[in-house]
Amino acid sequence: MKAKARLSVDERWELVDEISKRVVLRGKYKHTLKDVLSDLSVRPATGIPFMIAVLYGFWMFFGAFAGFFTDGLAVPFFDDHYLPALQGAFPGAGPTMAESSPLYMILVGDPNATNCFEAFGVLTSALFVAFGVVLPAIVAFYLILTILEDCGYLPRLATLADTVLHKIGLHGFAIVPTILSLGCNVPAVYGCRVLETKKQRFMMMTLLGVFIPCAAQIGIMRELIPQYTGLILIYLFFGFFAMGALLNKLIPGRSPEILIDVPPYRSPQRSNVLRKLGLRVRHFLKTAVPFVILGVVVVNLLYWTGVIDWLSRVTEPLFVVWFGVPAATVGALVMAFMRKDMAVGMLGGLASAGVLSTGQLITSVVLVSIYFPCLATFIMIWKEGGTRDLLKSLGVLATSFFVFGGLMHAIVTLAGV
Amino acid sequence: MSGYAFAKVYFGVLGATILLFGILQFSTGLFGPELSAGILTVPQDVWSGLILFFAGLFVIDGALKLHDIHGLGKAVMGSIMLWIVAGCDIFARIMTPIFGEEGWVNAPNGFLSVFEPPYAPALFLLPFSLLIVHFMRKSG
Amino acid sequence: MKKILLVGNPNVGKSVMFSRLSGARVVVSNYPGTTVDYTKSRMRVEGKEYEIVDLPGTFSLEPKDKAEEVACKMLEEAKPHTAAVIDVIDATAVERGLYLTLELIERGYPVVVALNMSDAARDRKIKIDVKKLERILGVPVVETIATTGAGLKELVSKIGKAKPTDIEAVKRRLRREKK
Ligand SMILES: Nc1nc2c(ncn2[C@@H]2O[C@H](COP(=O)(O)OP(=O)(O)OP(=O)(O)O)[C@@H](O)[C@H]2O)c(=O)[nH]1
Ligand SMILES: [Mg+2]
Repeated sequence: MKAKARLSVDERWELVDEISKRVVLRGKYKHTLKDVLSDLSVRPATGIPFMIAVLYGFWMFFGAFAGFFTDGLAVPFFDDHYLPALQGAFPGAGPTMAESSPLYMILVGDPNATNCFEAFGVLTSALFVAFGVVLPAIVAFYLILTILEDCGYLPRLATLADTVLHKIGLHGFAIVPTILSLGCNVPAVYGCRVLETKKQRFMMMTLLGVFIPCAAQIGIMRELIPQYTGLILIYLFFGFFAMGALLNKLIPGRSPEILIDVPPYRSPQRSNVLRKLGLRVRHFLKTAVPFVILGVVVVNLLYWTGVIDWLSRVTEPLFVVWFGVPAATVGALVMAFMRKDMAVGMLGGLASAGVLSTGQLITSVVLVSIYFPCLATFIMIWKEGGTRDLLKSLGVLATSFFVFGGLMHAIVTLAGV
Repeated sequence: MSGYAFAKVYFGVLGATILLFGILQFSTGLFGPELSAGILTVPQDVWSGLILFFAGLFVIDGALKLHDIHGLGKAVMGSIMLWIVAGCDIFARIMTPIFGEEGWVNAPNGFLSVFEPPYAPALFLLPFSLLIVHFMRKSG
Repeated sequence: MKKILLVGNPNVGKSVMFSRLSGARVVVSNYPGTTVDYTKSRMRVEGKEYEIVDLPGTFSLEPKDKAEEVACKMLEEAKPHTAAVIDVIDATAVERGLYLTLELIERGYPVVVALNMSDAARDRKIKIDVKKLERILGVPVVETIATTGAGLKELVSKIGKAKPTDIEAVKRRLRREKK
């Protein structure tokens, strides 16, 4: 076959022009209400108040929906009926956890626990956290997110965020992975592919992995410390920007500007919303629930073999002095390797057993949030960025962990919580 | 055009009312105390107060040039913001007290009590704002 | 197995079309950059089985980011086994889409053009002379609405007719349409 002629970029655009001149006929077009609303939602003066309203609606819906299923249904069922029944019926219970059989310890947990956060067994805490707390949060979050995605609000949010994000060397469109990340970090890290340079991709993946908690984790935070969840989120966003600004200075490379493509508003189709919701819930059930269960088994085994006690003793000075939390938090940090939602759930158990004060709970929730991306995210960053980027990410992570954990300790102490 | 003259006054007044309640709600959110009068109660919430404040501004601004698509658009945006606040309130009402002390059991009584007054301003103003839908339809 | 590739700018409806044609479930959202990796599935056309692939959106065949890279790489690799490239164009932004179409034609891909979002184009009072466009490009052009499925049957019936053409011929035919 003979070599085909190739055009230069300019020649090609010229040809496009010639063709479209002959085939496209534009009639007189009057602005519709949709266009006006579209315009108003990207102009800062009107767009920012509207954005506040949208985010307010998002948060309130999330709280009411998750609260209904968790506080209204799951908590009474699990704590009042399921847990006592299981503790009574399961063979091998002793007067204390240590005197119970290993199987009892792993599956049921503490025979004297009065709630499912404290018990910490596979059939108690793991099931309760996965289905009673996190599942409703996931459904609520993705229901709203899907509607926002499908109507086309996200690129408008990106346009509004562009000015701020540019200050830290990111394109406004980075807000889209950030929002996705509030659902689950894994697809968000994947979504960083749309960023143009290696620098931007690395920065974004790292910042997402380090600072953005997922819906599962937010759901359980809202259950445990509803009055502080908002503040913790704001603190983490602050960390996101501070670290972003620093990385932007340190890392060589370009942060080019491109225009954000804003598609027209479209009305969400119910079938698509339901299909996507189904896809995401199924993804959660398939990838999260096994890790929650595995995590509880592993952590219980580590307790049983004394590894966690040893770790606690070794790291005690660091935790007590620098972060102001008891060394018992180490167990939760081990859990956080696998699932952060379950790790926060563990902290809730410690708090309800009186081991953690409210201030310490807040600090340790921040620690768990920053500390390490969950296993799935870790693998994703590795796959997308390679070993070098992963190691660099971990460096950023370790730094953030000490700085922002210590800072939170200071804040909590000063505020006297 | 007389339809529009009426609508301008109507949405002007509605916008001013939303604005006023927005300011009230915002400031009680910051400084307290909770205000209650008859079937109306102003929740102490800074955020929804702020949203209502801007919603009121947009509705007023839109009402002044309602015959124009740009004015209408602004009034619609303000109304949507009001609907978001009111919608959250309704949703929270439905979702919270159904179960009460006894779990699901007292649902029938609890369910009715959900819709009893007092109402937050956004909820109270919601029906009055629905007239905007008529104008949205008209613009196509 | 021969391949059918769905190619086009971001957010033009490739993934909706993919779900419709293959029955597979993929994520569809109203913003550019929803799809960042390829998805494969099967479909039958006139009794023959094909592999159909949904690709990330791209503006040109010279990739600007990693998602575009995935699309371009797949196009490159699949070239010998490609039965047809369904080039999805947003009918409300024909120019941007045509740029990619010309690139595809230059590189000798067998192209079928889907003028998608034709409902939105009609609302915006944009008329496109499909027959003329078809004559100029020398490849099948079909108006579609992926979300309702309108035009997809016709699109599928044209897959067999997709064959490479070259850019000099496009230029010649364009000159002929001039008068
Ligand atoms: N009105 C209208 N909307 C459409 C049509 N086809 C797709 N859409 C909408 O356009 C949006 C984008 O569709 P996708 O299928 O995700 O687009 P894509 O080309 O896969 O986008 P990327 O994966 O980002 O490249 C969705 O909101 C669809 O509902 C159409 O024919 N008419
Ligand atoms: Mg797609």
